[in-house]
Amino acid sequence: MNSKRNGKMESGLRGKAFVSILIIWLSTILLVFAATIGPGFSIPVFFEGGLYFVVLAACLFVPKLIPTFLSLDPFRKCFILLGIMAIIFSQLYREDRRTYPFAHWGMYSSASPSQSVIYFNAVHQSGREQQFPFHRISPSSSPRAFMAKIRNNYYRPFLHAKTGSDEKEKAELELRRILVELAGIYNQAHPDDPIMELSVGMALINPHGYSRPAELEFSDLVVVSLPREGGE
Amino acid sequence: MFERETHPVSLGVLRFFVFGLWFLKVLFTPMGRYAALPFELFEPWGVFRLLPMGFYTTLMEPGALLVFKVLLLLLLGLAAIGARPFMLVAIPASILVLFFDAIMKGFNGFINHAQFGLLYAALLLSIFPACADRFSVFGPLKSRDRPTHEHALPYMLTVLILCLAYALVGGRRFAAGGLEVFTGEAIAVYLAVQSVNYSPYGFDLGLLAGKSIFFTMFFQAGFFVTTIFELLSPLVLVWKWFRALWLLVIIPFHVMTLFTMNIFFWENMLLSLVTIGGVSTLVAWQSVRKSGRENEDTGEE
Repeated sequence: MNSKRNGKMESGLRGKAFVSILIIWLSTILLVFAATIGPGFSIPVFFEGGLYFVVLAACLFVPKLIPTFLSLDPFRKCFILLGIMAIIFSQLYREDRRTYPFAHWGMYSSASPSQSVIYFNAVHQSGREQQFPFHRISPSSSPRAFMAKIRNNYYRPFLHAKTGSDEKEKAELELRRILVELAGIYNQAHPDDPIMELSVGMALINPHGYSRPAELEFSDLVVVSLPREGGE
Repeated sequence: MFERETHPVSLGVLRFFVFGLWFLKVLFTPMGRYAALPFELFEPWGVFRLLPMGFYTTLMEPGALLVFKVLLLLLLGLAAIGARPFMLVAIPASILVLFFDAIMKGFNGFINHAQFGLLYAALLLSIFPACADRFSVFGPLKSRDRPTHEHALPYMLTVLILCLAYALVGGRRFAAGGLEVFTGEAIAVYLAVQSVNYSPYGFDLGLLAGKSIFFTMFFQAGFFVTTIFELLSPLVLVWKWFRALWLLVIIPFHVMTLFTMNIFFWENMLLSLVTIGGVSTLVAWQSVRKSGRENEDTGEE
């Protein structure tokens, strides 16, 4: 008798929880729709949103999760539900700049990814060559992401500006300035073998033919030389 | 399943792991270097754009960064050791951790996901006082024992958030790339580009993918299987046998991405081992056995 009653109660709760999940999911989808103002909301996004609904609905089958969750006080319930909504909203909205601390998880999902690599090459006083060690000057959570900041804010504007235009010249000056500044920060911390030359260029990688950095052919190369300490 | 397995000690171990790992991350981050970087490189993301830039210019001074670091370490240390009242310590600790993450990511050109699992876990655990009931330097909380589910829920929600993140990666890959992302050249290109792309790790095993059809097929199959498991991640909460299978796929996947793509989500890997891998449950069993033996020795019931 008791187990039957418990079972009924649980299925009643499950029904209520299903409706709640549906409402939360639909509100999230509507928010994404409103934020992207229609055209940005494509069929794949809707399909993807559907997948996440299935994932959320699967929570109904996690033993005790729903009744325990429902027993929480309203503050904690709201905090958790808003958090989950924000995670799904950010995934579908794809604008990390606006949604952080929530972001979209779209890594390695393109069927035709870019083959270009932007390469910062540093030549040291000793003659040693290496990619500019971004991790030595920034305690960033990801040195690659820090490098991407220099690429996005300084190299890309130079790359995309029309050749011979004032815009190109200005972008190149800005790029050279930041390269000198970054190399200077490195040199200050590593005076034993400072960087004498720093260059940045773009190369295309052929996954079937590439073996080592020396094979890279750069385009749109910008090179800066650093003054020697003591000024020769 | 988790609701039956979660002993108050397991939740305490999870709390110790999450806040302890953040403590170590903050401790070994030379935050003073931010002050040396050109301030123009700093652009706050998301909700942090709402704060005035003057706030950040003040924060990026060496002295302010030092004070921030010391305060954060103090709060994280207290949260890790299970200081009570827990929420009073853990909520400010996790808010400051969020700030710490925002500062780090403010210098980034894209949002990297490596710390998100650990960040969400800290934010989530901070609102559950039950996290400091056991595995605390202040001893077990005996005066007001809570029902078991109060310890199980934060644990299950942490696993759910972690699994949701994996499911989102899998979902996006299928939705955006379809099957072509697994059958075409994509994986060979990704591996080659990430082997050449700057990284402090410096591994280039990913170049193997383009060297022979055998390697290409191996990586394509691995990519497909991993994505399926990513998408199905929330099932670890439902089926116990799936947990072992999931770990067998996801842990080697994280190790492989280090050697082939110079990407290492070690925080997620450790968090998976502690929660889904049952490390915290093992510690709980050990602790229960030990306290049982001590009770036998002293003749207590």
